[in-house]
Amino acid sequence: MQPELRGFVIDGASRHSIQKGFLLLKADLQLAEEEKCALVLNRAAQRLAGESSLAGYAIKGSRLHPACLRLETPFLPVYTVAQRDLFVQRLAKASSILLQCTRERQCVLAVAGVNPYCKEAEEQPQALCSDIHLVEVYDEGEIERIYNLYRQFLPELLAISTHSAVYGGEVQGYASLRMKVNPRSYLPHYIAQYSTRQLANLREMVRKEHGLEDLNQMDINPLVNENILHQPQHSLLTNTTAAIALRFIDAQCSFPFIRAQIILLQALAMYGRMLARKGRRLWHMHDEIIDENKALALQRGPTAVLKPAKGLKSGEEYSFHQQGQPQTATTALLMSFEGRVLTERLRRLSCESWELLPIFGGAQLRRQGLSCFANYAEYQQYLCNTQKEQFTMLLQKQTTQLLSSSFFDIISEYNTELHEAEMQQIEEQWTERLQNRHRESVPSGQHSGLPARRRV
Amino acid sequence: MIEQHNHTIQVICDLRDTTFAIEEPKQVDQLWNRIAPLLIGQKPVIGQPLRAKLGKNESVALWVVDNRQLVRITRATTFAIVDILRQPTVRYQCRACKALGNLVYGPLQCRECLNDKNLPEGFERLCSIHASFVPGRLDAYCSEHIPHCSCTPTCSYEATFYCDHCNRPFGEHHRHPHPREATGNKWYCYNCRRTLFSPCVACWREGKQESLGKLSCAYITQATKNPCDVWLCREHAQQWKIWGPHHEGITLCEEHKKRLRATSLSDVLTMMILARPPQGRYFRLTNAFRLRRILNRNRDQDLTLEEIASALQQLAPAATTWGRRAQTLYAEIKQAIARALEKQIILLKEVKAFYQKEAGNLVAEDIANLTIVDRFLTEDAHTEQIIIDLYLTSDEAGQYIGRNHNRIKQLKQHFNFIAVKLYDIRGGTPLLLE
Repeated sequence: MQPELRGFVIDGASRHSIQKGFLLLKADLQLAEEEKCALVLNRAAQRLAGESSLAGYAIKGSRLHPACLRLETPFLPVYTVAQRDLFVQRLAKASSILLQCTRERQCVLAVAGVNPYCKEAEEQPQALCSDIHLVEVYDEGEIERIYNLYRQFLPELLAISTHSAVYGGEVQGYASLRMKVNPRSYLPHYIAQYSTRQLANLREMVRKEHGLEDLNQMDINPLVNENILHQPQHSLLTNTTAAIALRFIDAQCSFPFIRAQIILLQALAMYGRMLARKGRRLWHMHDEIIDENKALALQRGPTAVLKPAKGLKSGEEYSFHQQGQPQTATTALLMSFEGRVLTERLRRLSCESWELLPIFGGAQLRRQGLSCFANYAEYQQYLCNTQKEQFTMLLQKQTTQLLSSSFFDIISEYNTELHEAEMQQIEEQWTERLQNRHRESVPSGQHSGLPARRRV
Repeated sequence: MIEQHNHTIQVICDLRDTTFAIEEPKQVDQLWNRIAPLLIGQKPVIGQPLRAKLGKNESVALWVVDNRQLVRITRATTFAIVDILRQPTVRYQCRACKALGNLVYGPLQCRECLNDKNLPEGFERLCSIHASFVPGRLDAYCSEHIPHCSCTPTCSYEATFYCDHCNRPFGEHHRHPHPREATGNKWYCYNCRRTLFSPCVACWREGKQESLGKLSCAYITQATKNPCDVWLCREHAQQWKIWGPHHEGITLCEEHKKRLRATSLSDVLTMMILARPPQGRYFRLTNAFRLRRILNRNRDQDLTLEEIASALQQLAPAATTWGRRAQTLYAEIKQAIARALEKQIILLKEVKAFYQKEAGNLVAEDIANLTIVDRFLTEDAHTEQIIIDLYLTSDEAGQYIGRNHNRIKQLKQHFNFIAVKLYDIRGGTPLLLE
């Protein structure tokens, strides 16, 4: 008898970290001053340090604006449902601590790309709040493929992640006002030949050809802790690891929604990883098409109609571009993940259908032409338009509810309430799709005891 | 897929120090059967590897992601592998490493080898150690194709930067910074730096040191070989307008503008031919008569077409060293002058025939020469109007003028002459001026 191998994934996921963004506001819903922010930060940091389950978590201020706070998680495994449960629960717990510290100082916490309650003195909002997702990478080959793959999917992911449609109590003309006005947002350019030895050259080339001084300011930053890869025998699973950072996602208020985002990002990373290990490259998609689709996405959000790139060649279908037809962003995302390539990655993540419902539920309903919310920018707009007088009070209340729970998702609730049968059907379809038909050598076993389905 | 079990340790299987290739699930099982017995007794610590040595130089590491709080691995311990790190399949092998017997991925492609159709596929592939770059560009080169400095065709220095203006590669000896940028992010070759940042000489003399000279004096002679190249701002640059009143002309400094009149015809023609004409519509130099008008503008004595033709002929050896555009213009001007001269000859014969018919052979024979002074086209550009000088070997102009100027009027009407001047060729004395 020998130790048993219960299951394996050949090209699996990696650890994930998130820098969750918050806006600290005073009681009058204006941005808090530096002193108040420092007080809240210190208190929250103390409380976090006292929680053994939150070792490695940190709350920091932003260099760009004192009212922007960041809750940073360590790199944590997200390979299984249980691990993702833990990730989200701890994130919610840390957010709750921050929420409590905020209340103790008579402050309010907002979670959106810009302050939805009050405008700032300047013409354009300065306090811009985002969720930065960091996906661990192991070598240069992976960085190149995963980076380019995220780059290709940037418009779809951005469209679904918009959450700054309301600013100062008014609906703006953009689903993501934050991305529109962000001076530190740059289109990620195609990297054909990534090598850590040539980083200086890459930086110089990007500076000369695209006028970008700092590569780290691209919407997708491939250079997080890249110096680690220079070391020949660097250890894995350390606290500091090389990663790719996705900087274009507006701060989200719903943890189930964040969980769904994590799964999608990890699935894409797994595909890129597979390409790297098989020595395959990614087709070059031109800057122009991504730039155009990005502009559409940040303006229209989930309803943006994205244009297909011409001549996208690949042996396997993984993107709506290969169909050659314009699609709304939600449908484009669905089409990509319904394909064999990415569905297989979702299976290998042991993904369960309810985990994807916050994103795919609304996307599928939208494809069927049913009225629904596809993301929180739409919900913001709805709330602002329909509950003008009570918008502030309602949004605050719901934000508190969302931040206090790891499984409460408003838009899933709403969509289910309106279209229960359809949502049920969507969940069943995805359950069917995610069943592991092509099992690798995995003997059956029992779950850890956590419920397999989590209905909101 | 990975299911979470109560005592299942999650690990990342690291095969990068081995030659194992994992493509199929059964290979994983085979590998596991070899390493599993070697794990018994080891302590699984999160973030630390479990080691399984398989051969002399082959060792598999299992990095513990989640140890489920197990203290020691036993026969009953279960594992789940969340990822298998391994050497990637090398589809594109670095050719330099291949020559050394190493199988290394070559993500980079030598730009020159790639364009060479005679080389086998894959020959252009290089790894980051064996590829060379010119800083500022991501084009990779093999050791044989490293770009050289383009200051001269024979410069052997390796290029170390691309000029920010002309985008050509240059060596360290040609590197010049932007005069006002201390960060050193912009580099220029000598010529571009001079073109972009030379101060206006005249302003400099006046104490205005900030003024940039954007125009350079194009005065050149056979003796000097190179243009004057003094840099001037628009205020101090003089324009020798040869392409019409609505375009800039050839830039000259004040000194050379004054010297233009005394410059030899060959040198003047050289400057006109070598100067780059403006965009759009402009007066062409291939009109022989317009050319002569321009040349005569600054002269006390008008040039003849023969003199211009002769000067052009003298330029023939130098013209072979000019660029294609200048050589083409030179040839066109020569042709235009030749056509004008031919026209003169034909016109002379026709005028003689006219006088022979009107006044007899003797009168016709006294016509020695004819010069087309100038030629104009009517507005519809269909009709030529010409001014001629007629040279006679006699001072008796009466037969040519006719009673009441009738004969000369007929001549002008017949040939569409605007004006006719008669000269006694023996002394150059004008006999009839109109």
